[in-house]
Amino acid sequence: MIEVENLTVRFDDLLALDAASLSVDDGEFVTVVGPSGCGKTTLLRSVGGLQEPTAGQVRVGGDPPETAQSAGDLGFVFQSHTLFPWKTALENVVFLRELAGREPQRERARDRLTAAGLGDAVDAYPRELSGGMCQRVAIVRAMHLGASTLLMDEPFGELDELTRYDMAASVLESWRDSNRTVLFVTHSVPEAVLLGDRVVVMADNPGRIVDRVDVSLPRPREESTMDTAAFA
Amino acid sequence: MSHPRLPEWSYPVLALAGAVVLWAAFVSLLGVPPYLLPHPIEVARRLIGNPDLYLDAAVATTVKVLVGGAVGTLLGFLIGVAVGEIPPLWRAILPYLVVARVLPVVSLAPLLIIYFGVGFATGVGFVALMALFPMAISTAAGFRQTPDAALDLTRSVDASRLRVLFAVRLPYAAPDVVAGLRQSVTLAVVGAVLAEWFVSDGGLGYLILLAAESIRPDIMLASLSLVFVIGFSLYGAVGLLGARVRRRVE
Repeated sequence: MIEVENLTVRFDDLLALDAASLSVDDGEFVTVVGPSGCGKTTLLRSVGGLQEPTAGQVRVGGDPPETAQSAGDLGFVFQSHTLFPWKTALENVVFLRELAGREPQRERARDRLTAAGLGDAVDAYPRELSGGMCQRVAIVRAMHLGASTLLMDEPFGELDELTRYDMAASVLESWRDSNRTVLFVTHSVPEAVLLGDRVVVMADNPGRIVDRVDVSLPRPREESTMDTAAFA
Repeated sequence: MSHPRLPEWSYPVLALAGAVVLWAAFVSLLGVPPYLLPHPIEVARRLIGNPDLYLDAAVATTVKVLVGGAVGTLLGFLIGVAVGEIPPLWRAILPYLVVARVLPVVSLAPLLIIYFGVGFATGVGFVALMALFPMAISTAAGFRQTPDAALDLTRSVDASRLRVLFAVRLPYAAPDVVAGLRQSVTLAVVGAVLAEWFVSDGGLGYLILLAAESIRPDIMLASLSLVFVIGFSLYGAVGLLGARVRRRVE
């Protein structure tokens, strides 16, 4: 459960986020969509405790984000894959758990990578993998951390169109099986609608939430869902 | 259009061979007197004719380079880590580290002699001082190489600072550390020869000094060629290390 109350973030005289309020239930998939500079990344970073709010309050599972960080209960996926170049895919997946002070669970990690279609890439280094595959590894890494909350900051932003939908489908699949709470930031409206139970719409100058839309499309959704009338 | 490619190491070797041939031709054709510039064969004859003298001197110099270099680079590395890890320290010290580089370290030699006397310790101390600064600056700079997103990731799981230092920041800094090491070893060789000039306790530098006083460029060049070999070997060794490190981090 994520609760955001009147969250305001100011960088010098720039109002990045103006009194944003938002609540995400356990197991819910909420997408945040808006133009660049609307504060959506700032919102996500504040929820993850990477950005100190100027005013307002953030709670993750009832506690401040720092508590969730210490508990290893926040799984981040960034726009860049942030894999460590000197570690293989498997080592990268395991490493985040180690950083969090947990058992590495190597075999489990191997299974997860295989399930994500990365069976051949387990022992490959990031430079040997495509951008899409690296981002998949990063998502598996966030899953393997075992956090109940996933925070995704335009994870498909640097990928080509086809790979994006492929990835979106696999994110949906692993989310369905895991009952995780997901906050997903994107600038693509179709992506936001395809993925979210709810879409939070933001605008810029100042960054703020302007609308919340429930998505009533049935699940499972896939690329073809986008051709249906309801999607429009 | 493509040229047949020779192995990478062959280029400097060919350049060296070419330089020696030019040198020989220059001396022979123009009849340069040996007290100005001896023929390369004369220099080689010096080395072969009195191997013990040159070997002992080379060993003495190498020991200074290695001991002083190890002390200097280790201290430089530790300073670099401290400065890189603690941002206020970085801001406070970095300008002085940079200025200390343009300051001729030679000017500190008399002070070292006062502290340590005329002997091995002064030589080693001087070499260490020469090697310290590039290592410290380069290591500190390497701490800037960790991408912000990687640091965000470590923060998102509240990873311990020590863990992040060893498992994330140092590996990202490794190529810069090696770059610092490369500068440090070459300066360590320069430092050892300089130290032998003002400490005069033996070694190739001392030999060069003696040769200069007796106007014997053949002995000088023989000694110099060994200095060159020491420097080149160390530089090559660090270069190999650097290639391995870069392969891992890029």
